[in-house]
Amino acid sequence: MSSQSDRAAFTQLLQQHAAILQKVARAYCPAPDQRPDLVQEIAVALWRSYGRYDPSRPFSTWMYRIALNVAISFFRRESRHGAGLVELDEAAPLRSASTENARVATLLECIEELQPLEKALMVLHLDGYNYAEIAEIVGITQTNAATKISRMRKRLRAMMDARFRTQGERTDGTR
Amino acid sequence: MERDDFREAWASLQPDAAMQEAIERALSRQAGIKAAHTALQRDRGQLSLEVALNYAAVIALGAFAVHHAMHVTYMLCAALLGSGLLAVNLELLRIAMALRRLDYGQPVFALQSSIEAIRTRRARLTAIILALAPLAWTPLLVVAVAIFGGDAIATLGTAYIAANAAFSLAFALAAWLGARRFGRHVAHSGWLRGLTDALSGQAYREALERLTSLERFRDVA
Repeated sequence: MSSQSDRAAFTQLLQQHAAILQKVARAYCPAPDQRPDLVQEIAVALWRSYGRYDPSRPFSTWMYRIALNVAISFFRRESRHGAGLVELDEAAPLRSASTENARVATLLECIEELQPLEKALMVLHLDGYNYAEIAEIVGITQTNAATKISRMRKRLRAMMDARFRTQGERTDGTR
Repeated sequence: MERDDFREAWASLQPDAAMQEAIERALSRQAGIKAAHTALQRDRGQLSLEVALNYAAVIALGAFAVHHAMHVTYMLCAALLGSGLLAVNLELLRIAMALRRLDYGQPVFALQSSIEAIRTRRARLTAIILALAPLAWTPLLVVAVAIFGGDAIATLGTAYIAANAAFSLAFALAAWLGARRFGRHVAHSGWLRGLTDALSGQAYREALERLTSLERFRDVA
C-alpha cells in the first residue's frame, strides 16, 4: 500500500468523507483541544487499514467502523487517564462561544451522556443510516439496533426537554 | 423534538477549523501517517518489549543455573524466578496474540468486546504480578549475591534469609490488604491510584464489569 495511485485514491476518499471524522470526534471527544489528536489517530488507522478495504463496499461504512472503533478506544483511554472528559458545565461555554445554535449544543450535550456504544448507534442513526446498515457497522442484530435506537431517542427527547425547561426557567428568572 | 429535528440539528453541525486542519495535516503528510502508529500498534510494541525483556531474564537465569549446577540453593532460586517469569510470559504471549488479531475494521461490538477481554486479562495478570512480586525478593537476593561471587546464605546466614522470606510474605500480604482497605482514601488520582487499584484487584473488577456491561449491550431486552 505505497503506490502513488493508492495514496491519491485514499486522499480523495478521506476528503470526500471528512465530515464523518468531524462528527465522530465531536461525539466522542468533549474537549475541543483533544479532537485534532483523535482525528489524526483515526486518519492513521484508516491509512493503515486501507489495504484491507473492499472497494465494492461503501467507503463511508468502512470508514465509520474504523472511526468509531478508534474513537471508543480513545475515549476509554482518556477517561482512564482522567483527561478528555470535560464536565458539562465546563464544556458549555466552549460551545456557546461557537456559532452553533442552542439546539445543536443541547443535542451534543445529551449525546455525551450516552455510553460509548450507544453513541455509535445514535451517531449512525443521526447521519441517516438505516437499521440494517447500523447493525452491520456495529455488529449487532437489526432488531437490537432498532430497539436500542428507539429507546435512546425517547431518552434523548426527555433529556433535551428537561434541559430546555431548565434554560427557560433560567431565562425567566433573569428577566 | 421529532425524529427529523434530531437529524436536522445533527446535520447543521458546523465544521471545526482545528479538526479540518488536522485532517489537512494528515493528508499532506502521508509519509508521516505511514510512519505513525495507532494506539493498538503502540500497545503491541510495548507488549513485545516486555516479552523480550522477560525472555532475556529467563535466558540469563538459565545460564546462571547451568553455571551453578552443583549448588542446589542457587538452582532452586533461579528455577523459582525463571518459572515465575515464564508463567508471566506465557500469559503475555496469549495477550499479544489476541492483540495481533484485533483489527479496527471489525464490527464495533466485536472489536470493543475483544479489547475489553484483553484489558481484563491484562488487569488480572498485573494484579497477580504485583501481589506476588515481593515474594521474589529472597531468591533474587540469593541470585544477585551469587552473581557477584558471594554466597548469601553463608555470608548473611540462614536466619537472615529466612527473616527476609518471612518479611516478603508479610509485606505482600500487608500491601494487598492496605491497597484494598485504604487505596481509594490515600490515592485519588495518578500513578499511586493506578498502583493501588491494580494491586487490590479493583482495576480487574472494573475491567470485568465493563466486559459484562458490553455483553449486556448485545441483549435486546
